[in-house]
Amino acid sequence: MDSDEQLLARSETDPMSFEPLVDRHSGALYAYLARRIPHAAEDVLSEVWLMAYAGRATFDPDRGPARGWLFGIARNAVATHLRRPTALPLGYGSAEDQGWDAVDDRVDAQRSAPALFAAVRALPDGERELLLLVALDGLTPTEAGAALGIPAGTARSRLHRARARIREQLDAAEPAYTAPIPLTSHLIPGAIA
Amino acid sequence: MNTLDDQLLDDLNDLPGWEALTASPSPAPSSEALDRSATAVREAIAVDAARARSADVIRSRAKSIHSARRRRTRWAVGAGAVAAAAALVIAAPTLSTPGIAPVSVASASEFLTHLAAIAPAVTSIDAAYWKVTSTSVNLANPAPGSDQVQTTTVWYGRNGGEWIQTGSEKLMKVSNAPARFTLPYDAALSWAQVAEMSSDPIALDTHLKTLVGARGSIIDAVGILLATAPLTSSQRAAMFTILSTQPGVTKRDFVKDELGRIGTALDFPFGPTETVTLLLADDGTLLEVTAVASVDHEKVLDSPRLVGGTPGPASTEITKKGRVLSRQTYLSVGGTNTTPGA
Repeated sequence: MDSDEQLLARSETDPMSFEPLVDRHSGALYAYLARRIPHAAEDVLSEVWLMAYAGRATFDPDRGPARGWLFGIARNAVATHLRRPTALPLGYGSAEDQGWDAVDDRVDAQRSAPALFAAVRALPDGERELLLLVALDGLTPTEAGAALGIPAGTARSRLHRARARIREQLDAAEPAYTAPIPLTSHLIPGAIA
Repeated sequence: MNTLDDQLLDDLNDLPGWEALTASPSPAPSSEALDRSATAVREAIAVDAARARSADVIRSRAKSIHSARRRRTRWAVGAGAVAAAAALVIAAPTLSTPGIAPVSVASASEFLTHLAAIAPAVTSIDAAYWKVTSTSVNLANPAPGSDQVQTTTVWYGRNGGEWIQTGSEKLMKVSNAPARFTLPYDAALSWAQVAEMSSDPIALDTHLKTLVGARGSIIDAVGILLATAPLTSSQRAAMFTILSTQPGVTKRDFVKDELGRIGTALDFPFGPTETVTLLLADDGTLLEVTAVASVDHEKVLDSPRLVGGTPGPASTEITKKGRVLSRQTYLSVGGTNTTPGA
């Protein structure tokens, strides 16, 4: 099977080579969009593909994988959508938030792993966005970097930093260590009751 | 994925709760949304192909001049006329010497009959690709945003596929389907169908009329095929014979095309327009086809709307007799075994 990069390269002269990409990545792109702009995800998905098709000649494999490039287009489409006057319901943040509030509502971890979720939420925007591309959208660090237009090495170092921040916050949030009371303590004279 | 990415993902996986975060369910698109995206891309591809094709000599010619011809009275070409012309082929004299300017003969019909007698096959008819390079100018209806004059090369694959290169743009493959040699009004012939066409003028005349239908013009169909298709010698002869039976055709010698090549021009009248077909007298190679207004014509244009919705003044577009509406100049036509774009 041809790689995404091969299909994109060939589509410059053979436009029909672009079509398999739509089948391959619509699901993941839709999920990305639906977490950020749930009410407009289906419409924007078509826009993303048209933007990708029209801009296929701009894809540069030296700047990252095709999948990251597609998510970069989706990211731009989300930002464009959120800048539209009617796009932001009351209570939503700025367009630059990339629909984080919408993401909040759609991540089960908010309930199942509230400490991690709180730590992710506290990350600087750039790190948080990278982390979510990896955690929720299943991109590799290299692909996530390509989506945000940053080199793979920069993406990895930011993710390392994000991980360190999260770890630090999780550690700080854990209750102070208390030595467990031995089950047999009641058997020991003078032991804590 | 590379090793550094793997290591980083392993590190992230160690975070308490990471698994729950990554396991968050992914919203799935509806089948309608998927269809809409696929359709949008397919339409964009089709628009690209259409844009490339719009510059293509073969297709733009058929479109640009046919709208003006819809009102024309069609001449019926009886089987008897074709048969008579076919008989004339045998007696046609040899009139020209290769490389020498054509000798003037009495009529267009005699000239075409002469061509039918000498018509050689086009070159490399058995090649893997058929390649047509031409320059087009559509003065009556230029494509928006495009230069009026465009050079286009089209490759037709014997085993399928069609490639187009317009101007300095990149070569674009526009179809994987069997190559189709386009005729007026969306009729088309595959390479195999072209090869199977009869070389009997009467049968060919009937076949082409059936293909282009009542609205189409057999003269256009013959012109396009002569200009662009891989025809055998006998098929070309039959086509010249069909043309020789058309009434009202006049001939002018020593006419230059846009490239300065000298040929014999045949003027085919069609109501408000006429088609000037320039042929090399030596072998009937079609050099150029020009659509010219044959009468003054006034067309009322839609009123432009000013800001606020107030209609602007009506305007008219006047086309003077003799104005060139479109021109297509064939630079090279023939078979090649070289891969498109190579």
